[in-house]
Amino acid sequence: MPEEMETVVVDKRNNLPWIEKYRPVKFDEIVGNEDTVARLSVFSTQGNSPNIIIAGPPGVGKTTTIQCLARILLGDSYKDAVLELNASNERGIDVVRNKIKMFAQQKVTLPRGRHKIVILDEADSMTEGAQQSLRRTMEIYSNTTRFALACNTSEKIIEPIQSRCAMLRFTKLSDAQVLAKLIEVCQLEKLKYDEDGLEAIVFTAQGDMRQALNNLQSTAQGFGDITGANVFKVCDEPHPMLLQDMLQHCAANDIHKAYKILAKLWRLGYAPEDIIGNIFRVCKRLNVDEQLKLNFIREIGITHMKIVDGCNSLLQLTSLLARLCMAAESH
Amino acid sequence: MTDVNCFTSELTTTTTTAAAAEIATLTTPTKNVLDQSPTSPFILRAPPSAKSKLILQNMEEVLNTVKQKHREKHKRKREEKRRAAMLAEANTEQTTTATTTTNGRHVLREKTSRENGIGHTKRKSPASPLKSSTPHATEQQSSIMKHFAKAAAPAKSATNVFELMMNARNRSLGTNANGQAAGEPAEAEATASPPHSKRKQLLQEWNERKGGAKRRLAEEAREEYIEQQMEQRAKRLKKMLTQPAAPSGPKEASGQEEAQPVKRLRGRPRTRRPSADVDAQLPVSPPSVDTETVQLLAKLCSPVKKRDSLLGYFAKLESPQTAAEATAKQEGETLETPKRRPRAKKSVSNTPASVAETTSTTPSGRPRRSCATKARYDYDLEPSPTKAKQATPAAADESIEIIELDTSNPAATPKKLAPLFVRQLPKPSPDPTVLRARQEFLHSGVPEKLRQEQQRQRCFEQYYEDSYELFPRIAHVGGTRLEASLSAPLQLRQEEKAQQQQQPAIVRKTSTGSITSCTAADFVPSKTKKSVSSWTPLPQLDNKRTLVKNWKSAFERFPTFKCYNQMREKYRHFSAIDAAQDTQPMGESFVVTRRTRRSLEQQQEQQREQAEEHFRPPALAPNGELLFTEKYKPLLFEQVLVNLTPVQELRDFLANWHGAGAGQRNSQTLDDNCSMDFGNDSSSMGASCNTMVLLGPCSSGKTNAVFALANDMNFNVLEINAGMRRTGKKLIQELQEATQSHQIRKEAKAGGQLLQKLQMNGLKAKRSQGDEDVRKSLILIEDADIVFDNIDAGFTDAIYTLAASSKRPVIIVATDPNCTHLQRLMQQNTIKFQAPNALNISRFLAVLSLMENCPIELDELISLYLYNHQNLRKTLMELQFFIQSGGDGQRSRGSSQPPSTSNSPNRSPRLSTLAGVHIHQQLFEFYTTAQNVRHFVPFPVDFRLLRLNLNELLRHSMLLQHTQSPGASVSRRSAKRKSCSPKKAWLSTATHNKSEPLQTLANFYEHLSTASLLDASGLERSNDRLQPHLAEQLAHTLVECAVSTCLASKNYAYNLFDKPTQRLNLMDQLGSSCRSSCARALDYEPAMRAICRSEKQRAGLERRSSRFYHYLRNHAVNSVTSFSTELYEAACQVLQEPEMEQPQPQQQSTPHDLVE
Repeated sequence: MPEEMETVVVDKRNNLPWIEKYRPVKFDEIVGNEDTVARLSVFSTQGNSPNIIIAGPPGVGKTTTIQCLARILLGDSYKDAVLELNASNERGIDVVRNKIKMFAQQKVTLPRGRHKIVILDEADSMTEGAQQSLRRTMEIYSNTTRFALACNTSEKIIEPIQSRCAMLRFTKLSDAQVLAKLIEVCQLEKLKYDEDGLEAIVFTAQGDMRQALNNLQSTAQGFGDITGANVFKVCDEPHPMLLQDMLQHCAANDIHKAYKILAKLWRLGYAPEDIIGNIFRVCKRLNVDEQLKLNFIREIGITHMKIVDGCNSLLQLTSLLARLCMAAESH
Repeated sequence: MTDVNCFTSELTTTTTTAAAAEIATLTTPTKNVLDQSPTSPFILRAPPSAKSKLILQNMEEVLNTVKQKHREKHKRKREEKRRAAMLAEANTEQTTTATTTTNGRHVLREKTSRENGIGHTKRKSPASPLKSSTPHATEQQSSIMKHFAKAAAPAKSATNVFELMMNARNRSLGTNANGQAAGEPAEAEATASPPHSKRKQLLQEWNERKGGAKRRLAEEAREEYIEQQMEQRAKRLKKMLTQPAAPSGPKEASGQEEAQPVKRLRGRPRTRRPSADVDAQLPVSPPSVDTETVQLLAKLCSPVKKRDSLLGYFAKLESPQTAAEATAKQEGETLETPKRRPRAKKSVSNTPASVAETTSTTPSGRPRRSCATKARYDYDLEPSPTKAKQATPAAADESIEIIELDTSNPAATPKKLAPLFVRQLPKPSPDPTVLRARQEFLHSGVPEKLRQEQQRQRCFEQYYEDSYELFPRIAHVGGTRLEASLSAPLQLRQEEKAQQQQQPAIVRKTSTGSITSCTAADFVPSKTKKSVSSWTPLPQLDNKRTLVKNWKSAFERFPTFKCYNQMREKYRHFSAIDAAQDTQPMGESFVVTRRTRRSLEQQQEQQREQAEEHFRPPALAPNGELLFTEKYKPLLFEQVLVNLTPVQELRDFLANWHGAGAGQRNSQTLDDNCSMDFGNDSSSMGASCNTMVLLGPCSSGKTNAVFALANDMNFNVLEINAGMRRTGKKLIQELQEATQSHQIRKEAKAGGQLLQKLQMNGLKAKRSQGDEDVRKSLILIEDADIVFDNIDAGFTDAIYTLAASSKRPVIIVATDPNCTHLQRLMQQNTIKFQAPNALNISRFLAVLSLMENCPIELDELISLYLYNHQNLRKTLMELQFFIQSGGDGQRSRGSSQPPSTSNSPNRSPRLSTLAGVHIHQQLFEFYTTAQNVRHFVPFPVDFRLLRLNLNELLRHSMLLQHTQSPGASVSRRSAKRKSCSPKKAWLSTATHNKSEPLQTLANFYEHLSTASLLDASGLERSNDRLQPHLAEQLAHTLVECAVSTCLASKNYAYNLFDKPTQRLNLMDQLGSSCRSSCARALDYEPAMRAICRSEKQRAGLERRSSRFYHYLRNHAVNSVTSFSTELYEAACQVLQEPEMEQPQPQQQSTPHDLVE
């Protein structure tokens, strides 16, 4: 099924970035959060979906899901019955009081059980005033209009709005999910790839599908082959393998070798924030004793806190190594 | 005049100290400059002859003055003692002073200043003080004059005023150098004079070629003026000159003159010295002393006016000169603006008289020398090509070189002038051969090593010039070092890359998922998509009634059947609408009025059994088209199931207004809360009792209560909400009519207002059709606590106006109990709503879900409700989402029992079910668990939740379990959960056990505290989008790892909902607007505690002086803390708790406290 559609579509959008080119248009193409997506797909066929808020980190398919829902639910009348406002549109109090209200009052003939949809993307960037003026509107016109909101942090949505919606939380995609999509795209694009490269992309993406696809495209267009080296050339990060070695040295209580690696990374000019972030990510998968790993993570956390506080010197990272070695020794 | 001014000002500006300092600099540099010059080949070169000459001159003059002064001293002594032996002594003293330069300079400075003073004071006297009092000095001057006298005659014919001026200037500039070149002017004079005319011609040509014609016109005008002035002055001077000066005979001049250079040579061991020696020989020979010049000089030494003195001298010199001077002057002046160098040279070479003058005027001229002149000399120090050519052969002896240079001067001038003019223009690079020769010369004096170095550098330059023509030379920075510094990081990076490529290759072979959680299986591209599960509508439940009967016994004190009947009614109603495809006018068949309801229900109940299938929802819109919140909301007072008391209050309030008129209200129906006193006058009481403020949290049913009552009591609701433009003007305008008349007709509703018609869509028929034709109006102002100041101007005032003037009830709905602008209204009539009880709501929801054919476990409902912070509307929304998308759906069939319910003993007994009926159990799980990556602890760690879960976690811990006495302690703890901290309890049991579990527990707490610290630090910077994520991740991973590894309690279900009573914590009450948790804990909290405690006590003791208490209650609302009475009391309660009961349950076990 997807291939058929892709072959048709590929001709039209050869020039698009891959995140647009491979943006899912059907629910079963959406990666991750399967349960929620499946339930939404039910609503897309059955209608009468309540107001929803989809909250989650970037790149997990919030907007895509909402657009899928609206497109499938409304079909041809999508243009008339959907009002989409994102952060680039003006969404002040006046817009809410006039534009959205006018839209809600409009009469659009829809089949029973279908409602007009107001999509408010990036709703957490709406001002509180705008949200306040939205709250009663959501209720009064609920017979004809439903709202679908997408946001990163649900804390920024005021409680009255949250109380009028079903809160659906999307979480970061698992690495396997990202990987599966990457392989699919690679095959469609007929790219030469190896496991190393794909894993590198997955590592850099950190559960963000958008970033994964962007990195994949950058690597493919820059170097052709998707190999680990190429990927890290594009996404310049402290190399996880180096960091893994470093942590292994620490676990073996060999601070000299560990420091050598750290100094090398430092000389390459990576920011300490990046280094500590990648150390943490690598450490999560480190193949050492659980107790030791726990101690490691604690030390990393303390160092991260210091770095965020502004003590972002090589000295802090070195002291991290020393403490890791001490932890390994006492273990 | 301008020129003159310039000169004189130059002369006057400097001080004696500056002169002394410059002597120090000028005595040494001649050699140095020669050494330096080749390194900068692109600077315009100037012949060193002039420079050297000037320097020599300077040196000579300085020495002369030194000598003079010494001689003066000695002369005075001599005159006093009349001893001839003093002469020899003086000579020796001179040598000593010359050798010790510092000494000499000291003396010199003193002397010069003194002489200046003399010169100034005795300005007017015809006889110069120097001459009269110091015969030695004059002797010396005259001796120098003698040297120049020979050359003066031929020179005079050619010199002009300008040259003279220049000479004077030179002299003034040069006077500061040590008077080394005593004899040099003589040699210069000897060589310079013949090619004069030739050079002038050349100069003219040059000048004209460089576009000097234009300039000349302007300059000529200026010249004329100057000439005039000069002539005037010359006349004046001549007059003065008629008075005879007293020339002293040149007694010892020659002898001294010879002796001086030798001495100086000894005194200053410099390479130039020989030249001075050689030069010194020459001046001895000229025998005659030009008395006239001496006279002249004497005159000049005592100028009438400081400024005029020089000019006067010039004028005098000018007098014998011919008409040729005019042209020469022109030439000289054309040159004036860009450069002084050629002039200087010329003057030195041409006019011996002026040089002679330098010596005579030294005392007054020397100290006035500016730093700028020195800089100009530096220019002159650069070698000219011609000089270089000639110098090379003479490199051996530099004294000879100088002589030669001086002789070659006239020939070289035109060439030397060239760079002058060219300098403004892009200068063609000098002839390479010349350059090389020059450099060779310049390198001659340089040490071998340095020269080699420079050679190499030049080679580099050459190389770069050859290779990179287009670019300006960058190589002067030092190419080799740059190269080295660049190559180092490059190498590093390459090495890095090599390593990077190596290492992954090595590691990769061993493990694929070392950095990510991908397993090897994931890399196999799988075409098989997950099977798309087709949605099947939930099966209609036939035996709802029997289920409800079963539940009835379980739900104590809950009107189960009442609820069930209501819902069934609505459910049927709406499904009937759906089924009927809106062909049937809805209002007729389902009239829900108080009168018809009973009969209708009875009818329907009879029909219900048969018609069960008939009302199945159609396939087109199986979910209906209403939200649950709309569908199941109460429409009549009787339908209000929860939150009954406030609704009752509201009904009583409205009942007053429901009657026919205001006057007919009877006060019996009033509650105590609405303590209104009624008078006969309706207008007086209107202000106080026609408003009602409904306060309560979100979704506690405030607005719904109003609408339900309005529907029940036949009110027409005029609603104002935040979604409308509600400026004060508009508000008044629209509601004026409504407020002033008791009733408005249905048709004449104010424009723009929103009646509840939309919601009453389904049940249109009201009681209005029965008894009354008119509907009273009711003003409902929603969200009154939200005011947008810039948009809704005057909203608050309009509310107060309405409240004061309205003849209809005004109901104001607000959420924030501390809203400042509503305080006055709130003090009158307030009805407070609260979130409904969780247990009741869960039963209500259970019946509702059963009605929707999807019975859900009670625990799930309670959990979700609490998880949503007791927000009924949200829970309903989520319930609808869950139910209408299929309940447990596909997953329940595949997976077996969810793990959540199995382990918690605190849960209430499950709902009794019948066979074949599936009780859905995944509602809560769906809304709380992450679907992609499963976490044991939900991702953003809520440490309050963690705290609540700690008890259970510890109890389920495998590592801790085996050390404890089983059974009894567990039950004991679960019983005493509130009063006994788990840690304490554990400690009490563990003290007599091994220390290993203690260590484990300590570790666990350590990790937790670190995690909470991390989380707190991340929260403080929550503005930043990226960093807190990492902090959250870190904290979460730490907690999860700690729970899994330290406690090894994997099968415990993490409790997600929070018990509101346990949640109360002073820290939470304080609000989150404090900057940091640290500051909050250390500064803010103690202060708040103290305030709370003292104010509480005071308020309890005496009513009168509790103003601050009320202030806190009323006005501290908009400050950082949301300080209200409840919060205040809650805080006080928290504080008093530890006093009451000794073990404080919460604060010991929290990781927060561990941290702080």
